[in-house]
Amino acid sequence: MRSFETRPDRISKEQALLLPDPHRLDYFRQVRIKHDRVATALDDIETLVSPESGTDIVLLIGPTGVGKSTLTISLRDRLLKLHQEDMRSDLSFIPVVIVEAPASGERGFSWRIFYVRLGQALHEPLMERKIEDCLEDGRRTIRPINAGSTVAGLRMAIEDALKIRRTVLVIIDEAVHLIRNAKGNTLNSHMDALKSLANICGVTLALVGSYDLFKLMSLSGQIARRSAILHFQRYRPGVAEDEKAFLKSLRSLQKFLPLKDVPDLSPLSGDLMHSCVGCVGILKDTLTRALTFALRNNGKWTDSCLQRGVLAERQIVSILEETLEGEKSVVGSEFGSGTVGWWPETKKKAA
Amino acid sequence: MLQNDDLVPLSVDLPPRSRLGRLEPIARGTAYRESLSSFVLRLAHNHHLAPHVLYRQIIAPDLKALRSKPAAWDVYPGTLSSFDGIGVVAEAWAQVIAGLTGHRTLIDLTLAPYKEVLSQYKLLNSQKRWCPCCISESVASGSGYGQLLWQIAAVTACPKHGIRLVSTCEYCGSVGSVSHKVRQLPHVCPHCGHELGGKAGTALEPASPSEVARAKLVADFLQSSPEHCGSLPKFGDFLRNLMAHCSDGCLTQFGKLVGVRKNTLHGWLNAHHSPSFPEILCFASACNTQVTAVLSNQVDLSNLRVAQIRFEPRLPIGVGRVAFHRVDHAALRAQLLRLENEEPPLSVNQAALQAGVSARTVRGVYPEIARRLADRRAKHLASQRRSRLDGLVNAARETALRLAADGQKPTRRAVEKELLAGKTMAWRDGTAVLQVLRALRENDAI
Repeated sequence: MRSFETRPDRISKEQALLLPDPHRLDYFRQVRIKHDRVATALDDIETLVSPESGTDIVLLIGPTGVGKSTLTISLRDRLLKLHQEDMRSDLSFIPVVIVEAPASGERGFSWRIFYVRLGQALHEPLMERKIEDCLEDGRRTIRPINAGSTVAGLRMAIEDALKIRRTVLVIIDEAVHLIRNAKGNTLNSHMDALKSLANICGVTLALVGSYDLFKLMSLSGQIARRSAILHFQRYRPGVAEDEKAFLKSLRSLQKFLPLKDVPDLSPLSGDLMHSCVGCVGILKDTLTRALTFALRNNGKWTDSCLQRGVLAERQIVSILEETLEGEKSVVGSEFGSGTVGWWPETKKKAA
Repeated sequence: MLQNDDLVPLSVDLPPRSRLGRLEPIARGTAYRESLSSFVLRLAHNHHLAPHVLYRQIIAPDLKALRSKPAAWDVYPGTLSSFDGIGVVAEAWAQVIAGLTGHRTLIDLTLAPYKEVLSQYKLLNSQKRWCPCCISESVASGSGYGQLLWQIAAVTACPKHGIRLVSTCEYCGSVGSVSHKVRQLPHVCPHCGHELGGKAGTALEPASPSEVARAKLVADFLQSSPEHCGSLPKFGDFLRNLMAHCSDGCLTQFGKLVGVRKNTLHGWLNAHHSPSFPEILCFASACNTQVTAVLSNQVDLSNLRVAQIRFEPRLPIGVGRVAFHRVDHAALRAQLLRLENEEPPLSVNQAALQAGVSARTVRGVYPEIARRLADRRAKHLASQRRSRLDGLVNAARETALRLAADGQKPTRRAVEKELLAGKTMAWRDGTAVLQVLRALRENDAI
């Protein structure tokens, strides 16, 4: 079966037009455009995840579809580029990994699956054959394993893998799965496990997810001290700058649509901004769906393609409600929102 | 790559990551550097895998890919030393492990770089040996490891601490055979799990000056660069010079002086084969010089008096050589029949030793007597084992009941601690104790 080059940085739009339909979709899916929010967020998160910042855990939160996962991929690529010389001389060096927190359907969070996935991302071999050894009364013993590795064995293997691979950043996508169904002390235990992983291995953890992650900050002062929240915001309708930036994003994405004779979508920017809740990720998904319908229509773009690609009203309302609630909850907590002299006592003395 | 200002740059192309983490060998470039076998054990430990699992699942497929047909050594080496030496095995292992860990080369952790001048004969140990002081120091500095120096048969002492290398664990007394049972770390006893650095305050046997001198010669040799360590033709030239100096060039006289046969000397002189490493050391210590000087023909013999040259006896080839003598078979048969009824029963080897013949003679000439001796001995040992085990089981039962009565949990470890006072139980005995405890639990006795 013939393989096609579909990377947008390697082929032009004219070449993309010649691709078969599935590969055209693939081409458009790989497009990651630069826009204002991405540039700011990338710089902020790069500052926070550097070892010198003193931050152990970074929470990257934002509305669904705003592009958090895409941002993490861009962050990973940026860090890989930064360390590329070192990675070429040391083939075992893996500076950054992305792993998705599992939602296995069990009642609680499955650390076993998480460690196995993290091990796979670190190229750690034979995760199912890990042994845990310990020192008891001056004797080194191996705990017998009856079937597969224990969670403790996996954890020890992951700690050593992170050290030996000199990893500096672990990005945990869909981190909200950690807190689902976690009640009482369980949530504290989860955070303790993560904090201990960051301390022992000297890595920074970036937890990516929806606004629900914010409740992790209120668990303890210790967590709050060593953590930071990065709020990846949407573009808000009614704010002139945001509307301009959204329009620019729409125009950038339109350039990469692998179709002939696509009309200018700029006049629809306002409506699209509302139906995408100001999130560039949702906009891209909308255009991807529209592209799918257009390709089924023999590659011809019609108004109905976009109409069918847009989210349903109820979906938009649900996302918007969740987003507004989340935005309200993080006010004053995100990175960069602190000011010196906000404490009332200090203000009084200053007065 | 197309430049496009609208796009976030996509990922750079990077070479694929190594399958295993890059562990750094310890003391690399020095005479006390880590051996490849120790490196593999530490690598397995770092990845929390048993060494045999690391071998079978990861190393063996790459080893097999190196050779076009399976070889005898493709199975897990029975002796770990086999990949610290100079042969094809050592080179293949070094190449594969270097590829898996992202190292450029790991051949310097073996003796393979010196293969041009070294012979495989009597080069490596069949038994694991170590210096307890070196192990304690390496553990204190972060990671215990096994030195390449200890793998060499001619080294019987530590050049740094001046003590004899040991080969038995101080805690359990097991002999450190170099086998696949070495399943943990190079500085840990594979049988009891204790550190091989020994107990604090234990007196260690000092080595003789000649042993320490020999160990220092080997250490200096390992420190030298393989490119400048010499060659067989140059060693032949050195021998020629030495022969001229000691015996005016007479091969026969020289052979008597050094204790080597003429045809062996002839082979060395003409670089047909290399001397064993102990023999090279003999020449170096006799001429009071370095090994590399001997192998590079850089020894100044002008100030060396023949009377001062002492060739140490070569390392013994083996034990059990019996001088040839005529056997009185009638007397031998009568003696063997008498020894058959000895108490306790003797083994074939013991009977042969008492009769002054080899066990091979007894088995070959008197097979029925040998069979009866062996059967009787086997029954005796089996009944001894049974009674010892019965005693152990009874003691374990009483101990478990006593512990339970005292309110302590009668686990296998607790019973072992009570019975053996700090020593380690053999795994078969441990299994018997577990069965006793299980039976007591089923009967609700504990």
